[in-house]
Amino acid sequence: MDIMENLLNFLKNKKALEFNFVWMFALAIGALILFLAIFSAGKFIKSESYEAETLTAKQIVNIFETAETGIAEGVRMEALSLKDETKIIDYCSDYETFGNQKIGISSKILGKWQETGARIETSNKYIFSDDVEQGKKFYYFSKTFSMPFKVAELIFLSGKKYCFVNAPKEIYDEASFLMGNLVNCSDDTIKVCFNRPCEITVTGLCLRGCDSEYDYGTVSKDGKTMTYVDGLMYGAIFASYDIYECNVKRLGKRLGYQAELISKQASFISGKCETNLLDLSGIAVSGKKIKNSQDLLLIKDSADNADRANMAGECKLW
Amino acid sequence: MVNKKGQFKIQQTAFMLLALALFFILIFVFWISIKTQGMKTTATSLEEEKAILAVESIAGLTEFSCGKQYCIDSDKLMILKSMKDYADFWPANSIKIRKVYPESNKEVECTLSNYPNCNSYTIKAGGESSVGTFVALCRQERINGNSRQVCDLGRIAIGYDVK
Repeated sequence: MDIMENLLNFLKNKKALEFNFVWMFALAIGALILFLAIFSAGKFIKSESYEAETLTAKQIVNIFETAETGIAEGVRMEALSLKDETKIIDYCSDYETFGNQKIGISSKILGKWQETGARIETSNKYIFSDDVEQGKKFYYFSKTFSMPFKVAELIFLSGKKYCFVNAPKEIYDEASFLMGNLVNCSDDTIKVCFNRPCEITVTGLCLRGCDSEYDYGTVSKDGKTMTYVDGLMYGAIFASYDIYECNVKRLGKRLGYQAELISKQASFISGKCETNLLDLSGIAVSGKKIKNSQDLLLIKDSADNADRANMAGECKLW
Repeated sequence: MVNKKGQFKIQQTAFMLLALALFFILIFVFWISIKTQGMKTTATSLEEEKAILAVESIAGLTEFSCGKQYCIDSDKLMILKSMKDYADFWPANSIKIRKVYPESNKEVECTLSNYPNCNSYTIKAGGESSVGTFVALCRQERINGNSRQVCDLGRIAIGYDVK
Protein backbone atom coordinates (compact mmCIF):
# COMPACT_ATOMS: atom_id res chain seq x y z
CA MET A 1 0.00 0.00 0.00
CA ASP A 2 2.87 2.35 0.98
CA ILE A 3 4.65 1.55 -2.25
CA MET A 4 1.62 2.43 -4.36
CA GLU A 5 1.23 5.67 -2.45
CA ASN A 6 4.89 6.60 -2.99
CA LEU A 7 4.65 5.84 -6.71
CA LEU A 8 1.53 8.01 -7.05
CA ASN A 9 3.28 10.81 -5.19
CA PHE A 10 6.31 10.45 -7.46
CA LEU A 11 4.18 10.64 -10.60
CA LYS A 12 2.27 13.64 -9.26
CA ASN A 13 5.49 15.39 -8.29
CA LYS A 14 6.48 17.24 -11.46
CA LYS A 15 9.78 18.34 -9.95
CA ALA A 16 11.06 14.73 -9.87
CA LEU A 17 11.03 14.61 -13.69
CA GLU A 18 12.61 18.02 -14.14
CA PHE A 19 15.40 17.95 -16.74
CA ASN A 20 17.54 20.67 -15.20
CA PHE A 21 20.75 22.29 -16.52
CA VAL A 22 23.07 20.00 -14.52
CA TRP A 23 21.59 16.97 -16.26
CA MET A 24 21.78 18.57 -19.70
CA PHE A 25 25.35 19.67 -19.10
CA ALA A 26 26.44 16.26 -17.81
CA LEU A 27 24.76 14.45 -20.73
CA ALA A 28 26.33 16.77 -23.31
CA ILE A 29 29.80 16.41 -21.82
CA GLY A 30 29.28 12.66 -21.38
CA ALA A 31 28.35 12.33 -25.05
CA LEU A 32 31.37 14.43 -26.00
CA ILE A 33 33.70 12.24 -23.92
CA LEU A 34 32.16 9.10 -25.42
CA PHE A 35 32.54 10.49 -28.95
CA LEU A 36 36.16 11.48 -28.30
CA ALA A 37 36.92 8.03 -26.83
CA ILE A 38 35.45 6.21 -29.87
CA PHE A 39 37.13 8.64 -32.28
CA SER A 40 40.52 8.24 -30.53
CA ALA A 41 40.18 4.44 -30.52
CA GLY A 42 39.50 4.52 -34.27
CA LYS A 43 42.46 6.81 -34.89
CA PHE A 44 44.64 4.67 -32.62
CA ILE A 45 43.80 1.46 -34.53
CA LYS A 46 44.40 3.24 -37.86
CA SER A 47 47.77 4.64 -36.77
CA GLU A 48 48.83 1.25 -35.34
CA SER A 49 47.92 -0.40 -38.65
CA TYR A 50 49.74 2.32 -40.65
CA GLU A 51 52.83 1.85 -38.48
CA ALA A 52 52.72 -1.95 -38.89
CA GLU A 53 52.39 -1.66 -42.69
CA THR A 54 55.31 0.79 -42.84
CA LEU A 55 57.44 -1.46 -40.65
CA THR A 56 56.74 -4.48 -42.88
CA ALA A 57 57.64 -2.48 -46.02
CA LYS A 58 60.90 -1.34 -44.42
CA GLN A 59 61.75 -4.90 -43.36
CA ILE A 60 61.06 -6.22 -46.88
CA VAL A 61 63.34 -3.57 -48.43
CA ASN A 62 66.01 -4.47 -45.84
CA ILE A 63 65.68 -8.17 -46.76
CA PHE A 64 66.34 -7.23 -50.39
CA GLU A 65 69.64 -5.69 -49.29
CA THR A 66 70.87 -9.28 -48.77
CA ALA A 67 70.37 -9.83 -52.51
CA GLU A 68 73.56 -7.89 -53.19
CA THR A 69 75.83 -10.85 -53.34
CA GLY A 70 79.22 -9.47 -54.17
CA ILE A 71 80.60 -11.57 -56.98
CA ALA A 72 78.25 -14.53 -56.56
CA GLU A 73 75.90 -15.37 -59.42
CA GLY A 74 72.22 -15.92 -58.69
CA VAL A 75 70.93 -16.35 -55.19
CA ARG A 76 68.06 -18.55 -54.25
CA MET A 77 66.08 -17.08 -51.44
CA GLU A 78 63.44 -18.35 -49.07
CA ALA A 79 59.78 -17.56 -49.42
CA LEU A 80 58.51 -14.50 -47.61
CA SER A 81 55.57 -15.56 -45.44
CA LEU A 82 53.27 -12.97 -43.90
CA LYS A 83 50.61 -13.47 -41.23
CA ASP A 84 47.72 -11.81 -43.06
CA GLU A 85 46.66 -11.58 -46.69
CA THR A 86 48.89 -8.76 -47.95
CA LYS A 87 49.28 -6.55 -50.99
CA ILE A 88 52.84 -5.52 -51.90
CA ILE A 89 52.52 -2.42 -54.05
CA ASP A 90 55.48 -1.61 -56.28
CA TYR A 91 55.90 1.99 -57.43
CA CYS A 92 58.68 2.72 -59.91
CA SER A 93 59.98 6.06 -61.14
CA ASP A 94 62.71 6.61 -63.71
CA TYR A 95 62.97 10.36 -63.08
CA GLU A 96 65.96 12.00 -61.40
CA THR A 97 69.53 10.74 -61.76
CA PHE A 98 69.02 7.05 -61.02
CA GLY A 99 65.25 6.81 -60.57
CA ASN A 100 63.86 4.94 -57.60
CA GLN A 101 61.40 2.33 -56.44
CA LYS A 102 58.99 2.52 -53.53
CA ILE A 103 57.36 -0.37 -51.74
CA GLY A 104 54.01 0.01 -50.00
CA ILE A 105 52.16 -2.59 -47.93
CA SER A 106 48.47 -3.07 -47.26
CA SER A 107 47.08 -5.94 -45.18
CA LYS A 108 43.62 -7.42 -44.96
CA ILE A 109 42.46 -7.40 -41.37
CA LEU A 110 38.97 -8.65 -40.43
CA GLY A 111 38.07 -8.78 -44.12
CA LYS A 112 38.97 -5.13 -44.75
CA TRP A 113 42.02 -3.83 -46.61
CA GLN A 114 43.93 -1.38 -44.43
CA GLU A 115 45.31 1.92 -45.64
CA THR A 116 48.70 1.47 -47.37
CA GLY A 117 51.57 2.34 -45.04
CA ALA A 118 54.33 4.81 -45.86
CA ARG A 119 56.14 3.95 -49.09
CA ILE A 120 59.72 2.90 -48.46
CA GLU A 121 62.07 4.23 -51.11
CA THR A 122 65.16 2.57 -52.53
CA SER A 123 67.39 3.97 -55.29
CA ASN A 124 69.80 1.09 -55.70
CA LYS A 125 67.41 -1.87 -55.82
CA TYR A 126 65.73 -3.14 -58.98
CA ILE A 127 62.62 -5.05 -57.96
CA PHE A 128 60.71 -6.83 -60.71
CA SER A 129 57.15 -7.63 -59.70
CA ASP A 130 53.59 -6.98 -60.75
CA ASP A 131 52.21 -3.53 -59.85
CA VAL A 132 50.40 -5.22 -56.97
CA GLU A 133 51.41 -8.64 -55.67
CA GLN A 134 48.80 -10.22 -53.42
CA GLY A 135 48.95 -13.21 -51.11
CA LYS A 136 50.30 -14.53 -47.84
CA LYS A 137 53.40 -16.12 -49.30
CA PHE A 138 55.77 -14.42 -51.74
CA TYR A 139 58.78 -15.86 -53.53
CA TYR A 140 61.84 -13.84 -54.38
CA PHE A 141 65.28 -14.47 -55.78
CA SER A 142 68.05 -12.45 -57.33
CA LYS A 143 70.28 -12.63 -60.38
CA THR A 144 73.23 -10.53 -61.45
CA PHE A 145 72.76 -8.29 -64.48
CA SER A 146 76.01 -7.65 -66.36
CA MET A 147 76.59 -5.52 -69.45
CA PRO A 148 79.52 -6.25 -69.72
CA PHE A 149 80.48 -5.52 -66.09
CA LYS A 150 78.09 -6.13 -63.20
CA VAL A 151 75.45 -3.40 -63.33
CA ALA A 152 73.25 -4.51 -60.44
CA GLU A 153 71.60 -7.36 -58.68
CA LEU A 154 68.07 -7.83 -60.02
CA ILE A 155 65.39 -8.87 -57.53
CA PHE A 156 62.40 -10.87 -58.73
CA LEU A 157 59.33 -10.97 -56.51
CA SER A 158 56.06 -12.81 -57.07
CA GLY A 159 53.14 -14.20 -55.14
CA LYS A 160 52.00 -16.38 -58.04
CA LYS A 161 53.03 -19.85 -59.20
CA TYR A 162 54.62 -20.39 -62.60
CA CYS A 163 55.25 -23.38 -64.82
CA PHE A 164 57.73 -23.47 -67.71
CA VAL A 165 56.70 -25.21 -70.93
CA ASN A 166 59.21 -26.25 -73.60
CA ALA A 167 62.05 -24.51 -71.75
CA PRO A 168 65.60 -25.49 -72.71
CA LYS A 169 67.25 -27.67 -70.05
CA GLU A 170 69.71 -25.01 -68.84
CA ILE A 171 66.94 -22.47 -68.29
CA TYR A 172 64.66 -25.02 -66.63
CA ASP A 173 67.45 -26.14 -64.29
CA GLU A 174 68.41 -22.58 -63.40
CA ALA A 175 64.78 -21.55 -62.86
CA SER A 176 64.13 -24.64 -60.72
CA PHE A 177 67.12 -23.76 -58.58
CA LEU A 178 66.35 -20.07 -58.24
CA MET A 179 62.56 -20.05 -58.08
CA GLY A 180 60.73 -21.64 -55.19
CA ASN A 181 57.49 -21.20 -57.14
CA LEU A 182 58.30 -23.18 -60.29
CA VAL A 183 55.84 -26.09 -60.43
CA ASN A 184 54.13 -28.48 -62.83
CA CYS A 185 51.38 -26.88 -64.89
CA SER A 186 47.86 -26.86 -63.46
CA ASP A 187 44.81 -24.56 -63.59
CA ASP A 188 46.12 -22.14 -60.96
CA THR A 189 49.59 -21.72 -62.44
CA ILE A 190 50.77 -19.18 -64.98
CA LYS A 191 52.19 -20.85 -68.09
CA VAL A 192 55.47 -19.56 -69.47
CA CYS A 193 56.08 -21.06 -72.92
CA PHE A 194 59.32 -20.96 -74.88
CA ASN A 195 58.90 -20.39 -78.62
CA ARG A 196 55.26 -21.40 -78.30
CA PRO A 197 52.34 -18.98 -77.78
CA CYS A 198 50.57 -19.02 -74.39
CA GLU A 199 49.92 -16.65 -71.41
CA ILE A 200 53.57 -15.59 -71.33
CA THR A 201 55.66 -16.33 -74.40
CA VAL A 202 59.45 -16.19 -74.43
CA THR A 203 61.07 -15.91 -77.86
CA GLY A 204 64.82 -16.39 -78.19
CA LEU A 205 66.54 -14.19 -80.76
CA CYS A 206 70.21 -15.09 -80.35
CA LEU A 207 71.35 -17.07 -83.39
CA ARG A 208 75.16 -16.81 -83.39
CA GLY A 209 77.89 -16.67 -80.75
CA CYS A 210 75.63 -17.36 -77.82
CA ASP A 211 75.31 -19.98 -75.08
CA SER A 212 71.61 -20.36 -75.80
CA GLU A 213 69.16 -18.83 -78.27
CA TYR A 214 67.49 -17.27 -75.21
CA ASP A 215 70.57 -15.20 -74.26
CA TYR A 216 68.47 -12.31 -75.50
CA GLY A 217 65.00 -12.10 -76.96
CA THR A 218 61.47 -10.97 -76.22
CA VAL A 219 58.78 -11.79 -73.69
CA SER A 220 55.14 -11.22 -74.69
CA LYS A 221 52.29 -10.99 -72.22
CA ASP A 222 49.01 -9.07 -71.92
CA GLY A 223 49.41 -8.04 -75.57
CA LYS A 224 52.70 -6.24 -74.91
CA THR A 225 56.23 -7.23 -75.86
CA MET A 226 59.33 -6.58 -73.78
CA THR A 227 62.89 -7.05 -74.99
CA TYR A 228 65.30 -8.73 -72.57
CA VAL A 229 69.00 -9.40 -72.31
CA ASP A 230 70.62 -11.84 -69.90
CA GLY A 231 68.85 -12.20 -66.50
CA LEU A 232 66.26 -9.62 -67.43
CA MET A 233 64.26 -12.50 -68.94
CA TYR A 234 62.95 -13.34 -65.44
CA GLY A 235 62.16 -9.66 -64.93
CA ALA A 236 60.02 -9.59 -68.07
CA ILE A 237 58.24 -12.78 -66.96
CA PHE A 238 57.43 -11.61 -63.41
CA ALA A 239 57.02 -7.85 -63.75
CA SER A 240 54.21 -5.81 -65.21
CA TYR A 241 55.05 -4.01 -68.44
CA ASP A 242 55.35 -0.61 -66.70
CA ILE A 243 57.56 -1.85 -63.86
CA TYR A 244 59.78 -3.71 -66.34
CA GLU A 245 60.27 -0.76 -68.70
CA CYS A 246 60.82 1.61 -65.76
CA ASN A 247 63.47 -0.68 -64.25
CA VAL A 248 65.18 -1.11 -67.63
CA LYS A 249 65.50 2.70 -67.86
CA ARG A 250 66.85 2.84 -64.28
CA LEU A 251 69.36 0.08 -65.10
CA GLY A 252 70.37 1.99 -68.25
CA LYS A 253 71.08 5.10 -66.19
CA ARG A 254 73.11 3.08 -63.67
CA LEU A 255 75.04 1.44 -66.53
CA GLY A 256 75.69 4.88 -68.04
CA TYR A 257 77.20 6.28 -64.84
CA GLN A 258 79.22 3.10 -64.24
CA ALA A 259 80.61 3.31 -67.81
CA GLU A 260 81.56 6.94 -67.14
CA LEU A 261 83.31 5.95 -63.91
CA ILE A 262 85.24 3.09 -65.54
CA SER A 263 86.23 5.34 -68.46
CA LYS A 264 87.63 7.91 -66.04
CA GLN A 265 89.35 5.14 -64.08
CA ALA A 266 91.04 3.90 -67.26
CA SER A 267 92.47 7.41 -67.86
CA PHE A 268 93.42 7.77 -64.18
CA ILE A 269 95.56 4.62 -64.12
CA SER A 270 96.82 4.87 -67.72
CA GLY A 271 100.38 5.69 -66.57
CA LYS A 272 100.49 2.62 -64.34
CA CYS A 273 98.66 0.07 -66.38
CA GLU A 274 97.54 -0.33 -70.01
CA THR A 275 93.85 -1.08 -70.15
CA ASN A 276 93.36 -1.35 -73.93
CA LEU A 277 89.87 -0.13 -73.26
CA LEU A 278 87.90 1.30 -76.11
CA ASP A 279 85.94 4.42 -75.46
CA LEU A 280 83.03 3.63 -73.12
CA SER A 281 81.36 6.98 -73.76
CA GLY A 282 78.99 5.32 -76.27
CA ILE A 283 77.69 2.98 -73.56
CA ALA A 284 77.55 5.87 -71.09
CA VAL A 285 75.45 8.07 -73.38
CA SER A 286 73.19 5.26 -74.67
CA GLY A 287 72.66 3.96 -71.13
CA LYS A 288 71.67 7.31 -69.68
CA LYS A 289 69.32 8.03 -72.58
CA ILE A 290 67.73 4.60 -72.95
CA LYS A 291 64.11 5.01 -74.14
CA ASN A 292 62.77 1.48 -73.83
CA SER A 293 63.84 -2.16 -73.54
CA GLN A 294 64.44 -2.44 -77.31
CA ASP A 295 67.49 -0.16 -76.90
CA LEU A 296 69.09 -2.91 -74.78
CA LEU A 297 70.08 -4.82 -77.92
CA LEU A 298 72.03 -1.82 -79.28
CA ILE A 299 73.85 -1.32 -75.97
CA LYS A 300 74.59 -5.06 -75.82
CA ASP A 301 76.59 -4.84 -79.07
CA SER A 302 78.77 -2.00 -77.69
CA ALA A 303 79.10 -3.87 -74.38
CA ASP A 304 80.32 -7.05 -76.11
CA ASN A 305 82.96 -5.03 -78.01
CA ALA A 306 84.11 -3.34 -74.80
CA ASP A 307 84.32 -6.72 -73.06
CA ARG A 308 86.60 -8.11 -75.79
CA ALA A 309 88.84 -5.02 -75.58
CA ASN A 310 89.02 -5.29 -71.79
CA MET A 311 90.02 -8.95 -71.96
CA ALA A 312 92.91 -8.13 -74.29
CA GLY A 313 94.31 -5.41 -72.03
CA GLU A 314 97.22 -5.70 -69.59
CA CYS A 315 94.95 -4.48 -66.84
CA LYS A 316 91.39 -5.69 -66.69
CA LEU A 317 88.91 -3.18 -65.37
CA TRP A 318 86.19 -5.75 -64.61
CA MET B 1 19.63 30.03 -1.16
CA VAL B 2 18.33 27.48 -3.75
CA ASN B 3 20.04 29.36 -6.58
CA LYS B 4 23.39 29.32 -4.78
CA LYS B 5 23.15 25.57 -4.25
CA GLY B 6 22.44 25.09 -8.00
CA GLN B 7 25.36 27.30 -8.96
CA PHE B 8 27.62 25.37 -6.62
CA LYS B 9 26.54 22.08 -8.23
CA ILE B 10 27.22 23.45 -11.72
CA GLN B 11 30.64 24.65 -10.60
CA GLN B 12 31.30 21.27 -8.99
CA THR B 13 30.40 19.46 -12.24
CA ALA B 14 32.47 21.87 -14.34
CA PHE B 15 35.56 21.41 -12.14
CA MET B 16 35.08 17.66 -12.15
CA LEU B 17 34.90 17.66 -15.95
CA LEU B 18 37.93 19.94 -16.19
CA ALA B 19 39.89 17.60 -13.93
CA LEU B 20 38.75 14.62 -15.99
CA ALA B 21 39.77 16.33 -19.24
CA LEU B 22 43.18 17.21 -17.79
CA PHE B 23 43.58 13.62 -16.64
CA PHE B 24 42.84 12.30 -20.14
CA ILE B 25 45.18 14.89 -21.71
CA LEU B 26 47.95 13.77 -19.34
CA ILE B 27 47.36 10.11 -20.26
CA PHE B 28 47.37 11.05 -23.96
CA VAL B 29 50.65 13.03 -23.66
CA PHE B 30 52.21 10.16 -21.70
CA TRP B 31 51.08 7.63 -24.32
CA ILE B 32 52.34 9.81 -27.19
CA SER B 33 55.80 10.14 -25.59
CA ILE B 34 56.05 6.36 -25.00
CA LYS B 35 54.81 5.68 -28.54
CA THR B 36 57.25 8.20 -30.09
CA GLN B 37 60.14 6.74 -28.10
CA GLY B 38 59.17 3.23 -29.27
CA MET B 39 58.95 4.36 -32.89
CA LYS B 40 62.33 6.10 -32.66
CA THR B 41 63.93 2.94 -31.22
CA THR B 42 62.39 0.80 -33.97
CA ALA B 43 63.45 3.27 -36.68
CA THR B 44 67.03 3.39 -35.34
CA SER B 45 67.28 -0.41 -35.14
CA LEU B 46 65.97 -0.71 -38.73
CA GLU B 47 68.49 1.90 -39.90
CA GLU B 48 71.25 0.01 -38.10
CA GLU B 49 70.10 -3.27 -39.69
CA LYS B 50 70.12 -1.58 -43.11
CA ALA B 51 73.64 -0.24 -42.47
CA ILE B 52 74.89 -3.71 -41.39
CA LEU B 53 73.45 -5.26 -44.56
CA ALA B 54 74.81 -2.42 -46.71
CA VAL B 55 78.32 -2.76 -45.31
CA GLU B 56 78.30 -6.41 -46.42
CA SER B 57 77.12 -5.62 -49.92
CA ILE B 58 78.65 -2.27 -50.84
CA ALA B 59 82.14 -3.65 -51.47
CA GLY B 60 80.62 -5.91 -54.14
CA LEU B 61 79.17 -3.03 -56.19
CA THR B 62 80.93 -2.26 -59.47
CA GLU B 63 81.46 1.34 -58.31
CA PHE B 64 83.68 0.09 -55.44
CA SER B 65 84.84 -3.41 -56.28
CA CYS B 66 88.32 -4.37 -57.42
CA GLY B 67 86.86 -7.58 -58.88
CA LYS B 68 87.41 -9.79 -55.86
CA GLN B 69 85.18 -10.34 -52.86
CA TYR B 70 85.55 -7.79 -50.02
CA CYS B 71 88.02 -5.82 -52.10
CA ILE B 72 87.71 -2.09 -52.81
CA ASP B 73 89.53 -0.35 -55.63
CA SER B 74 90.98 2.91 -54.30
CA ASP B 75 91.54 4.22 -57.86
CA LYS B 76 87.77 3.98 -58.35
CA LEU B 77 87.21 5.76 -55.03
CA MET B 78 89.21 8.74 -56.27
CA ILE B 79 86.92 9.01 -59.31
CA LEU B 80 83.78 8.31 -57.29
CA LYS B 81 84.59 11.15 -54.89
CA SER B 82 84.31 13.60 -57.77
CA MET B 83 81.06 12.21 -59.25
CA LYS B 84 78.36 14.29 -57.58
CA ASP B 85 75.54 12.39 -59.33
CA TYR B 86 76.06 9.52 -56.91
CA ALA B 87 75.53 11.70 -53.80
CA ASP B 88 71.99 10.49 -52.99
CA PHE B 89 72.29 7.05 -54.50
CA TRP B 90 73.86 5.05 -51.69
CA PRO B 91 71.77 3.14 -49.15
CA ALA B 92 73.64 4.84 -46.31
CA ASN B 93 73.91 8.19 -44.57
CA SER B 94 77.68 8.13 -44.83
CA ILE B 95 80.37 6.01 -46.48
CA LYS B 96 83.95 6.28 -45.35
CA ILE B 97 86.86 4.01 -46.18
CA ARG B 98 90.07 4.20 -44.19
CA LYS B 99 93.40 2.47 -44.65
CA VAL B 100 94.16 0.78 -41.32
CA TYR B 101 97.36 -1.09 -42.24
CA PRO B 102 100.10 0.05 -42.82
CA GLU B 103 99.13 2.19 -39.84
CA SER B 104 99.48 5.96 -39.68
CA ASN B 105 98.82 8.29 -36.77
CA LYS B 106 97.18 11.08 -38.69
CA GLU B 107 94.02 10.86 -40.81
CA VAL B 108 94.74 12.38 -44.22
CA GLU B 109 91.82 12.73 -46.63
CA CYS B 110 92.77 11.60 -50.13
CA THR B 111 92.75 14.20 -52.91
CA LEU B 112 94.10 14.12 -56.45
CA SER B 113 97.20 15.95 -55.24
CA ASN B 114 98.17 13.62 -52.36
CA TYR B 115 96.94 10.22 -53.64
CA PRO B 116 98.10 7.52 -52.78
CA ASN B 117 99.98 9.08 -49.83
CA CYS B 118 96.82 9.41 -47.77
CA ASN B 119 94.59 7.11 -45.76
CA SER B 120 90.97 8.28 -45.80
CA TYR B 121 88.27 8.36 -48.52
CA THR B 122 84.99 10.08 -47.67
CA ILE B 123 82.45 9.13 -50.34
CA LYS B 124 79.49 10.52 -48.42
CA ALA B 125 79.67 12.54 -45.21
CA GLY B 126 77.16 12.39 -42.35
CA GLY B 127 75.63 9.77 -40.06
CA GLU B 128 75.79 9.88 -36.29
CA SER B 129 76.72 6.21 -35.72
CA SER B 130 78.41 3.72 -37.96
CA VAL B 131 79.02 0.03 -38.55
CA GLY B 132 82.00 -1.31 -40.44
CA THR B 133 83.95 -4.22 -41.77
CA PHE B 134 87.49 -4.85 -42.94
CA VAL B 135 88.27 -4.97 -46.65
CA ALA B 136 91.26 -5.18 -48.95
CA LEU B 137 92.03 -1.71 -50.36
CA CYS B 138 93.80 -2.14 -53.69
CA ARG B 139 95.23 0.14 -56.37
CA GLN B 140 97.29 -0.21 -59.55
CA GLU B 141 101.01 0.57 -59.35
CA ARG B 142 103.86 0.22 -61.80
CA ILE B 143 106.81 -1.37 -60.00
CA ASN B 144 110.08 -2.01 -61.87
CA GLY B 145 108.26 -1.51 -65.15
CA ASN B 146 105.60 -4.08 -64.31
CA SER B 147 102.02 -3.30 -63.53
CA ARG B 148 100.92 -4.66 -60.16
CA GLN B 149 97.94 -4.50 -57.88
CA VAL B 150 99.07 -3.20 -54.47
CA CYS B 151 96.76 -3.87 -51.55
CA ASP B 152 96.50 -2.54 -48.01
CA LEU B 153 94.10 -3.38 -45.22
CA GLY B 154 91.15 -1.01 -45.05
CA ARG B 155 87.95 -0.56 -43.12
CA ILE B 156 84.68 0.55 -44.64
CA ALA B 157 82.28 2.34 -42.30
CA ILE B 158 78.62 2.90 -43.13
CA GLY B 159 76.86 5.58 -41.13
CA TYR B 160 73.27 5.84 -40.01
CA ASP B 161 71.26 8.36 -38.05
CA VAL B 162 70.15 7.70 -34.49
CA LYS B 163 66.53 8.89 -34.28
